[in-house]
Amino acid sequence: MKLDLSRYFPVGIERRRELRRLLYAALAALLYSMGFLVRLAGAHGELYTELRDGTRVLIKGAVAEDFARLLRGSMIGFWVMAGAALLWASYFYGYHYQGSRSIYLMRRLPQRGELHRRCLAFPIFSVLALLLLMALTTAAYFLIYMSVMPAECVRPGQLGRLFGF
Amino acid sequence: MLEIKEVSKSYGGKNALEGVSLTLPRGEIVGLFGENGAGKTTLMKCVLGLLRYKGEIMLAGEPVGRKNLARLSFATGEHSFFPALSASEHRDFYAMHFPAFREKRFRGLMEFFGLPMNKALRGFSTGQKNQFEVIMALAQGADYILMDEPFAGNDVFNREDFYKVLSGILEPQETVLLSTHLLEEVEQFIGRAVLISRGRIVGDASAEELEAQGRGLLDYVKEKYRYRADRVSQALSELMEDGE
Repeated sequence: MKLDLSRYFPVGIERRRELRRLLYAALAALLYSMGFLVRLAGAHGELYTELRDGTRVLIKGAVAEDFARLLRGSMIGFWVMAGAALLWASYFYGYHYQGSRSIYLMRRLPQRGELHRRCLAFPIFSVLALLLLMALTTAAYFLIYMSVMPAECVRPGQLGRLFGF
Repeated sequence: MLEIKEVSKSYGGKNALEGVSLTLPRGEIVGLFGENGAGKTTLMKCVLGLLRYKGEIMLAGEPVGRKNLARLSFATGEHSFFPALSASEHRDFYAMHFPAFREKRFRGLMEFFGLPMNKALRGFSTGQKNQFEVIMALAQGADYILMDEPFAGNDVFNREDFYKVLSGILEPQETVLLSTHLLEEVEQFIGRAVLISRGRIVGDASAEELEAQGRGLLDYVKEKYRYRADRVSQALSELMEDGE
């Protein structure tokens, strides 16, 4: 069964444009989060020292910066975009006052909730999609952290510290 | 039958409607007349459930709500269509949401007014937009068709055509409540005149009653509004005296 996406957007709105906006928002948040990779590279470099012949060796007893600390602030882009996605709902409601008062027609429809479904479905989906992407990005960064950092330098309980316990 | 009982509405303490009671039986074309701000639009919006109000509005003995809302349609000078959609897309949308949608009437009226089917409504002229707004209200398949100043911006020939079409196509069960300032134009087409002033019903007379009394609609309205015919000449003479 094919999902009819048009039922989840205000009537007459360009769905592709809205989906593109969501994609741009997700990309912007993802790009911002990549600051983590820069900090990871820096933290990784601090674990090593360079010998006179130019070879890099692990500093004895060096402890890697915690994943949670390196990640701090990286995901803020996702939260900002998710907040902005909620504003989409007011844009969609406002759309029914632009150029005409199609709000009158929408509010006259016999189907309860038609207006709200069309105005809220995509913003809610966007928030959920951004939060899911944030979770996946965090998981991917965690895997990168664990594979890049020398095991002996990583303090145990990294995930626990990430979730604050 | 649409019954409006003791309906009141106020905006920030200012009364827009005060205890309005009105009954609209099926099969009438009713003119709703009143000065700007009299409460015509507010009354229609209350009937449609677009505004909260005090009082009771019943349709065939039941409160107006989701269950019977499709029996009411609305054409407004503000327009309630989607500017980005074409006429054919509107037809599809209406057909999907209003089970009694009248496809044949829609096509007939579109052809009559020569409106394009596949052009976005935002590209229509004001007159065409008004025509389309009214077409959709008539084609929805409603028993009660509420029209609020639907012809603002249409030329006189266009309006004339429209009144003829309206009186020609309406079926016995269909009632039209038409709010307009164009008293003389609609005089021949309405069966009843309801006058509203400052949120109150100040007059309600059928065309037969007026005819029996040998009065025209305009005379009736002037009488109810206590229009002073000598007002202009008096003002002019006062101005002339000031100028001397």
